[in-house]
Amino acid sequence: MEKSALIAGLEALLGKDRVLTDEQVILDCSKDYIGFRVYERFDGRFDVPRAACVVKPKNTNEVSAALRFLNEYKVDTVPRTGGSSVTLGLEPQEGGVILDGSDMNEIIGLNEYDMMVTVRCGTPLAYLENYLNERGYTTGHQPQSLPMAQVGGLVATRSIGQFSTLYGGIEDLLMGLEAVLPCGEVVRIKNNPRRSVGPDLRHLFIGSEGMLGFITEATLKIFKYKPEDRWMNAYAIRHMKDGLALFREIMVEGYRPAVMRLHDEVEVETLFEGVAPDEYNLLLFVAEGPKPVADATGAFIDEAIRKYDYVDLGKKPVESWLVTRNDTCDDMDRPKYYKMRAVADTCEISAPWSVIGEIHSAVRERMPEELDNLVTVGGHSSHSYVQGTNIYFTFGYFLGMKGGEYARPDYMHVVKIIMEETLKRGGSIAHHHGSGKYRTQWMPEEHGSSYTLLYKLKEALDPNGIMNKGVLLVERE
Amino acid sequence: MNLLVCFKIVPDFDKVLPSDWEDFSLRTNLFYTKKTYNVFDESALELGLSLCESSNRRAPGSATCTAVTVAQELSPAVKKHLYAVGFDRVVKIESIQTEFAPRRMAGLLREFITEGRFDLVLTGVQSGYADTGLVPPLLASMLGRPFVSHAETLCFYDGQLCVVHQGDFGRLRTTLELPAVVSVGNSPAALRAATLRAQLMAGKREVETVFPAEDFFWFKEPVFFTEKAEKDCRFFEEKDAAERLFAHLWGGGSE
Repeated sequence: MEKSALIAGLEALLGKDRVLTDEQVILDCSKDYIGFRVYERFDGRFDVPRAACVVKPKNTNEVSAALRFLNEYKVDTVPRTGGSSVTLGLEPQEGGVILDGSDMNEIIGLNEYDMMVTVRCGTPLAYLENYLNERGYTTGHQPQSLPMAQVGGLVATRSIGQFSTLYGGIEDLLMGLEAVLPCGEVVRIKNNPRRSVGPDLRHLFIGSEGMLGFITEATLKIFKYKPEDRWMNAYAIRHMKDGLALFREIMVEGYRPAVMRLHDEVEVETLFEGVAPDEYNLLLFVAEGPKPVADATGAFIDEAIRKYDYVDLGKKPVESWLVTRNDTCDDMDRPKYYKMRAVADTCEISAPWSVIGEIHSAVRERMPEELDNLVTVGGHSSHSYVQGTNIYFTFGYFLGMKGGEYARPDYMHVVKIIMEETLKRGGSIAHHHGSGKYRTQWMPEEHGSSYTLLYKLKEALDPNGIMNKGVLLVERE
Repeated sequence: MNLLVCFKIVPDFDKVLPSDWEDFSLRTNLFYTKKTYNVFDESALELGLSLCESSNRRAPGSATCTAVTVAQELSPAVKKHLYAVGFDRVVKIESIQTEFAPRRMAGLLREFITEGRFDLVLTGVQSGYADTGLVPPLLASMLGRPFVSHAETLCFYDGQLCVVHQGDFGRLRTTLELPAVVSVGNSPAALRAATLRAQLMAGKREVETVFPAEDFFWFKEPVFFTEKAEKDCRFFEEKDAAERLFAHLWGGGSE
């Protein structure tokens, strides 16, 4: 479809003020915070396909009208809300449309009796959390992207928060939703504590990364918010394997601290230099909920750690982390690493307890062997389950005087090592950032024989293949 | 040319808890904050390295670069990083790091600089901690050397050091004969990252420790306090607003 006809058609449906064609607006909405893009942003040559326009619907009807039109003319469409993606998941197709739900930002209703809140897709999580906190509630969802993220994107990417060990990921928090299918049909999944009525249809949209539809509304669980009753403490522990063993014991024994973080000694050096003794790993714990429960959780942790080589660091490192944990969002557009001619980023995986330590060691051993310019590779566990945990790898490499165009190949080399070492041991290649467009190539191996189900779902719900091409599914001939 | 960069490791003040800011003193225990290069010193370290490298490119072996700090401890990570990015020597003048004692700090550095015969001394313009900014000019004065402050970039031109620096009325370019002392201000230079391989090699090298012959451990510890003055906002409107404002400010008016 011709660009002018596309824009005219959308303007006729939604009005001129809802169809943005300004070059800078399109670029800003195409922006993704994957580490290597920092060079393009500061070199002023953001090398992504150019969408024809950004469409900002203000309600579900407008989303529906826009999608019906885009589907009819088979126009590639990328949904977005807050724009905090780090996986290339938001990058548009050349000549396509960015469907931006950020103007649909409203808290529709707080149901304090049934303990749930319903919001439109563009509601900023930070705003929602503040609103709830003032009334004594929390969603329990605290991702690092909190200052930027909006609810629709959090659901679509299967987000997780830093307090997930108690509250779970977004899949545990989502009660029901409203979404618009690529054909424009509006579907609603009602809010109930549990249903036994066939497959859980919420999961068609949770983590779909916009490839099966556009989420317009979500209802989330809420919980009592009592930060004054928290128990928190930090410890240094000599060996990473001991930290992981401690985490396993806490989970297996039935305790649920909200936050359990184990930073390896490399991350201590890069993120917490001087806080823990040299060569030690750092543990941060927060337990919350009813005070007796939080205190009992803390007492167990404080006792369980005694069998290891450890140092009690008190609660100040945790208090400081709580205050500054999301400051990264403020630095996203600052040229810190650009000035250092380096690239730094993270990549997260998950695995059962039996192999997680092995994956952590294997990645840390292999990466320096294959990348001469590697500056750092470390990791932390920050989301635990009875059966296993995640590792959030942090890495950095030096570009030196090489141009920014060299940033991407090395980046993908780093990611390849993490993906391969994880898959080799039966882990999962993405714990909570999603596939985006940069992990898609490993999806066949990740899903194995079940991968065909994703294609079948795509064919059923988006037969024209207009929605977020390139995420999750390897393009077939 | 022997080049020396003076640096200090300071707490990351962004990580300090609000409660500790409220009751801040030099004795406030900030163990829980990340320790990092003082931001101006970090730029000075990079400028020093770059200058040294460009000199050595023109005449191999003509320049050496030393990093020095006054401290009781220097973490292995900092030592490893500095050697890995290319410093020839990393030196610790073993003494208690003190704040608000610029004469003492300058004295300790002068002794080392004089013995080491350093042609160019770079420092950060001030520490984020103390913010008096007195060590660099005092050091230059003690050494009897020309001094330029708030440098942004440095280069050698025609055998002389060209410094672009912030002056009272804008950016200036000053040419210096060595030996000299230059303090670095808001420079765009960021200390480079070191590859893991370079860090591994550097891990085996040790920090040189120097014990000062004379250490004056005297200084008056400042007392910090939080100004609790209440802010007052009033609106003065109508024709006689100026008179009423005047009366309010100086006449004890109660409006």
